[in-house]
Amino acid sequence: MSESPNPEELRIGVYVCHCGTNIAGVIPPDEVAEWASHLPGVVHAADTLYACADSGQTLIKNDIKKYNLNRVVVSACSVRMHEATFRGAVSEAGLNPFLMEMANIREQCTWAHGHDKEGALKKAKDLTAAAIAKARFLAPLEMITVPVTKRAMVIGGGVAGISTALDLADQGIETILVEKEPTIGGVMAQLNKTFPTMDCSI
Amino acid sequence: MENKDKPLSFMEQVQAIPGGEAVSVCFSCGTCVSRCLIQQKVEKAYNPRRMMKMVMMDLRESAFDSPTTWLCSSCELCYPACPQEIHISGVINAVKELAIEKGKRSPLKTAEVNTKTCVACGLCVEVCPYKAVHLVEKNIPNRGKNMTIAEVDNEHCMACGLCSSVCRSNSIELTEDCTDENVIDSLRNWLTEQSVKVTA
Amino acid sequence: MVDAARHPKIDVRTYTQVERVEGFVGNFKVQLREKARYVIADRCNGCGDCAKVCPIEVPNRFELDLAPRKAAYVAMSQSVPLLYTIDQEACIHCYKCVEACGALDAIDFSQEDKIVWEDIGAIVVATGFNHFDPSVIPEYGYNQYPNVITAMEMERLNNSAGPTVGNLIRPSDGENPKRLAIINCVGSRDKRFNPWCSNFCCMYAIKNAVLLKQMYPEIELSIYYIDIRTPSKGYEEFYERAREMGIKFIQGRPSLITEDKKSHNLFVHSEDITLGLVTEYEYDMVMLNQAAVPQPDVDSVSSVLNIQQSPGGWFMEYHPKLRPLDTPTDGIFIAGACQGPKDIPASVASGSATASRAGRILHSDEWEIEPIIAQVWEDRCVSADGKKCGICAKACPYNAITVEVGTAAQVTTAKCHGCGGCVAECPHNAITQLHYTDAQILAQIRALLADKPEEKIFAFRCHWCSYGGADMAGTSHFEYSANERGVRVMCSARMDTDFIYEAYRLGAGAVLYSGCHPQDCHYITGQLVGASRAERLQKIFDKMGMSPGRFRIEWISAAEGQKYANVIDEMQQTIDEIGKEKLLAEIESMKPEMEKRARRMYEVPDVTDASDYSDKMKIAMTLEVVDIGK
Repeated sequence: MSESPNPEELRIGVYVCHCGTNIAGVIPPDEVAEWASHLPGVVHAADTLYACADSGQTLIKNDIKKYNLNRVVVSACSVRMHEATFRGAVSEAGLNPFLMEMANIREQCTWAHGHDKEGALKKAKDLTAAAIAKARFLAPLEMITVPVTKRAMVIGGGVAGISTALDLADQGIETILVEKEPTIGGVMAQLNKTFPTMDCSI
Repeated sequence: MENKDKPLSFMEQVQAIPGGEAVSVCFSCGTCVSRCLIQQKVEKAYNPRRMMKMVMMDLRESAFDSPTTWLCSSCELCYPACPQEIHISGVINAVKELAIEKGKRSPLKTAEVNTKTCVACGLCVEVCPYKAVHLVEKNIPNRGKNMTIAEVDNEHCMACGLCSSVCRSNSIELTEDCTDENVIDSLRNWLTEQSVKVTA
Repeated sequence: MVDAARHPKIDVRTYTQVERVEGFVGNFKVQLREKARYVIADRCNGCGDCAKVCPIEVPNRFELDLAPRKAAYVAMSQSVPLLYTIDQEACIHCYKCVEACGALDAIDFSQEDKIVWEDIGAIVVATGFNHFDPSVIPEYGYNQYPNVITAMEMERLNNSAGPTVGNLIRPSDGENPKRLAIINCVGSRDKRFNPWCSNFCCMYAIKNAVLLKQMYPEIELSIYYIDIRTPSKGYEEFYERAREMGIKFIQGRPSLITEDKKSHNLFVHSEDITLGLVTEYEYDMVMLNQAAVPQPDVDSVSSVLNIQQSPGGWFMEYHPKLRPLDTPTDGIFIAGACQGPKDIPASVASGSATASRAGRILHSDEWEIEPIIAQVWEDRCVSADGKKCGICAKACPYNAITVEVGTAAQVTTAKCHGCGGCVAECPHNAITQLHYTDAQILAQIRALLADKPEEKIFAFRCHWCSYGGADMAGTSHFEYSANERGVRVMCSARMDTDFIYEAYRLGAGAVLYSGCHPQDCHYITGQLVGASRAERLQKIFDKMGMSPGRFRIEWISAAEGQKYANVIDEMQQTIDEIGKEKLLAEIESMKPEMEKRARRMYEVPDVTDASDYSDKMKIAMTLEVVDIGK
């Protein structure tokens, strides 16, 4: 387990991403960072052109050491996009990955309120503040490891399913190919010669 | 919001009129044109697909001068056939409204009211599909002052002749070749031809 | 096909359906129904003697019903496996086949469907697509005019293994057509049916035209199109080759096909856009290039495998660019045209790619999953004090909680998927969810409602669906009121009543309670737990006299960006219509009641104690290996 943060003191680092003009074209990220730097627990806040790029990740990793950060907040895009990226970055710097929290100021802010810059700025600040607030309560967690059954199932015996099954089987993986019709082949088996090679489809 | 003061483009003006909203999604497949009876039976230069394109390309004057603007009868054959679900006659009528606003006039020979015989029964007003006939108060020479009488709005009349066919006093008629007399004459000729064919 | 059947590592199970999938990445249990064939697989040698004697003929679906097959049949001569099946719906039980099979004794009428369970580490879904039925477009006359055929019928008619041995004939009189029209975008790029482009039909039309031109050099071929799309390598060159061969391309979507009743010849009415002329050409035969549509059983496959659908019913990928073959469920992948129309090269490529995605897992001895699970505070659980409760166990979709009076409730780590339903349901606040603790969520709510709360629309969203819907609104640039503030939890089951009360206590103008549609739930029945709670809340708020619309329940999928934007804008309108003064008065008058009801908020420590509180959450995580079977 990674080292637990000093229980006496919260040391949060905040990174506000420009995402090129995706975010910075609507709101000033430096203003959000400046504002966040005064929130309780925040010891360092900065804006960065692309937080997910190598340079952005390096900045975060170096800052964790430089400022002895024990929580990181990345105010950028959706967790569906880059949560794994930033978890990886902070853990490379020795921080437990679950001590990183994201605020979604792109999909759910600048992209959704591109014509309401004032409203978007207020919302970006609030979303960043909420992520910081959550970060204050974050606890280090360990991933759960589970065993893996080394068998695959492919559902559908058309051209895609057959390709998948062959590739898995050639990798040495036992594969069950399930087809609801009495024969495999799918639509492809019904076709005459196929483009681009004009050869028989079966 | 940044462009608050920029004047509306032709397309935006059309889209602002109910019926004209969907014009921009037209991908020029031509279904409407080959479905259209006006194009096939009346006027070869009539082309709703090109009208959509003129709106999108901001070709205001060409659109106003196009027969398409003035000849659409809103029969709605094209609407259910359009794969993009564009209310095509709605778009054309929106263009027509803008054209009228700019002082353009319909080239159609529209229906005319015989002010001497009209009794303002209002039947023509009721049947007109284009809401182009109204009852108004007017001074009619040799008849009286402030008489209630039917009046045709020439910009919206499509010369379909429905008013003329319901009028009980023959007081509203299409001009030139579509007067009652002309229609009856051509009908008689056609019937005679048919009977000649049958006997032959 | 044959390669797959011969491969020692591939076990081909045809005539088999997937009925249930349980478990999690690396540890799935899949229930299969192997339908009875009434033929013993080990004994049948595919000789076909049964079919020869079978007296019953029915249309062969494989041949698009253009040819018959027997009740004892194989779909086609190259069937894999080459194994006969007896169609019970057609069979009259004359048992002539049993006689014909003789000593082989491969026919067994006592067979029944077999249910089997399989242990599986990773699943690839490649269920494919279906063809649009053009008979619903009246203007094209399919099913009315005999010489209007579909693309798939054409495939069988010019196939040397097909019912006419590759001789293309007109269904009306058996003559070879001299003039043939192909119409593209039949049922696709058509908002009345399917708005999407079906991807492969342009190339498909050209392929068929080239083939026919090679077979019948005298034939006149015209392809009607809206746009010709040739975006891949070699496609444009192929299009050019077709033009060089004299195939006519007419830009224009036909509006009508009419028929000469005597000759059954067809007239295609279309504008030739490039000429600006309305045309009406006569043809002997017309082929409709039908749209690709999702499989008819897409909804049941979706719910068995827990895969969301994009608009129209295609399976939805986790992320269109970064994880195009993954589903939100780790260990389940999608390949081929079930995701959206794909041609053969693209289907094969995506099949190989998913093999690699699944291989990452299947080559590992262990796989990591997020520790976002439920944890019981033993000193708070009333069951430990000998009281009967068990509410947590009832809320759990996975039977992961055991409650025995006398001991605190126990969560089986390996079974818990982390929906948080038990956490929100526990009336004694004795369960927490790691990484989504009450303290963490309440801290977010308070930060978001710190300033002018009455102007805010506070949205609770689940990770898998409604948060994705909000993302989709942004990605599509559907703008909505910037007064929206949201928190994300894993499932609507986690949306504690206390959170809602707290949002109102803090003065929120309106609150949205949103999650997935019931059939999409990532946690089997988590949404039901959330939905019944939301309905209870709605009744309470109605009784309290809350203005209608200030509390709103909406189920929004990850594909429904437009819906998310609309809901937020409607809620903004509701607040505006109530008016600030009246709204503030209502918030103030309800505050004491909200405060009374939000019990959990008192337990959240101040920020200064946070790290101390967090420390308590450090729980040694051990994995109990349990049987997750039926």
